[in-house]
Amino acid sequence: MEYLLHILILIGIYMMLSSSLNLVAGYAGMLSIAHAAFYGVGAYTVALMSLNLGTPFLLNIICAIVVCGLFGAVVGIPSLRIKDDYFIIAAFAFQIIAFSIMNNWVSFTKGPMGLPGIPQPNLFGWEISSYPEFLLLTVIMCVVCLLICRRITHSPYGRVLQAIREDEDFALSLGKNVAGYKISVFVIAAMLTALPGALYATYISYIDPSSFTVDESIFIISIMIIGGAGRFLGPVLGAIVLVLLPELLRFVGMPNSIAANLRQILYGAALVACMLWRPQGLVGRADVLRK
Amino acid sequence: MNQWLTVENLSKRFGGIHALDSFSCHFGQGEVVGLIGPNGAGKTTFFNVLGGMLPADGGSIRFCSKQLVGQSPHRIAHFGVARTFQNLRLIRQVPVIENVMLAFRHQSGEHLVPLAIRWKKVRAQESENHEKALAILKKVGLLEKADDLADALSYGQQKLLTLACCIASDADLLLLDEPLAGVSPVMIDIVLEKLRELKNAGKTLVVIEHNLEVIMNEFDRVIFMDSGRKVCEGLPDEVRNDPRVIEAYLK
Repeated sequence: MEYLLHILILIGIYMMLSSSLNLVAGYAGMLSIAHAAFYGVGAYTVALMSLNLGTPFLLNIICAIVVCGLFGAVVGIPSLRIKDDYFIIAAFAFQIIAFSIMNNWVSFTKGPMGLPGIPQPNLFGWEISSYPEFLLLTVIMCVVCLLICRRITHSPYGRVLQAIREDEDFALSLGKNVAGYKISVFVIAAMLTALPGALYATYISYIDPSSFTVDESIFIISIMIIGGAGRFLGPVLGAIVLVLLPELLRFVGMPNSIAANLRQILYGAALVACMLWRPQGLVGRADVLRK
Repeated sequence: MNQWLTVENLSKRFGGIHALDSFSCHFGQGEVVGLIGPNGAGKTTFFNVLGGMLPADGGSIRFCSKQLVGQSPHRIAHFGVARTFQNLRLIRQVPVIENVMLAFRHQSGEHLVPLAIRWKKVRAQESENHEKALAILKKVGLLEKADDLADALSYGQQKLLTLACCIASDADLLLLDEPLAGVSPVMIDIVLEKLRELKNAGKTLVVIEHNLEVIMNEFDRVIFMDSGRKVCEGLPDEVRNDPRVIEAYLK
């Protein structure tokens, strides 16, 4: 039972991560490989605040949202000048820098030893400690996050994001402030990662830099692409499929040492299969074929 | 002469090439002006500089007493300048109607604050715009394609769609870069009819065009450009018989 709840919580975390990435990458077309870095910034902000300052959970989340938003603006700025492949490299650089700081600034982040004993969250006197309680918190956060994403994507704002993805000059010629949209969507997406970051840190109660690597970013991107980039339901479905897929390996009695490697192979195979047969993702429009 | 849009000594260089060389002209409100000239004359560059896509190297553009040189493209579009591109620009992977709805100006739902706190107003404006977009699509004859992807339209239909976007933007000045190039004869008549409707609605149209018949019949005035300079301007008949024009095409 606990296992099942754990899986559901993980699905919720990845739904939030990939849905927020979808705003930037799926809608606005800026494939950011820095999403795990934002996630890490959120998790570390919450962990460090609750461990060092003992501040309440809600305040920690708010601070994490602000800090993530600031980092989002930092990564968003290069997107104004460079596009496509070059932007991917710039975001990739940010991901590496963020990981290196988490890993090497030992006096602040404890480096690879990580931060153990992160206190469990307390929301208005509600002590969250058991699996069902964490699942409830996950559901609340997930609903808030998805509602924000849906509001953004199903609006004139979201339409402009798609226009920027397809043709920036066309959007400019129609009077859309492309630079403003790029920065603001980056800030929003980064702010949203503070939610799963806070949840992860307090749920596992231990974080170390290895949870926020490039691999994690790529996993989040895979969820979005396999589910369907640029569609609201894409990352939602993608998170369910990609979190459950490797769990199936447990039931065929695979020893853990093999299953861990097989998991990577499985993700790769799923991506290739998706590119071959459903390039628009699981929920994409049938007539959309991305170039 | 009504000095609604005045361009003075506009210059644009690409390396050693003068794409625009002290180019001056003016346009009155409600005019349909043809911009003609051989390839590389600077016609599209003029549009790009006017729309702010390319920075000017010198000169001034005054539009309704506003200086356009140095303004960003989205600001210029907000002043009421719309354009179409020679190589079609559309948002291909979204439905036709979304392209039109994108073009409306002053949408409160395009900004985050109203999106967060004034959702009702955003929704109301959105459904109003949806109706308006359907009406525009009906006008250009693309109503039954409203939910198809823009990419699925034929070339001529895509040209009509860019025109629909211009109509939706409700701009007073329309810069049309070869709206008829590559369009089938049947479609040409439809496009021309829409252009006449826009003129009758009081819009100013500046059109880059090569089709002589269209130039003679549709334009109030023609400006002939070559090597970034204005060679001559006047009524279509006058320009057609100007020896400098004939020379430019023969050289």
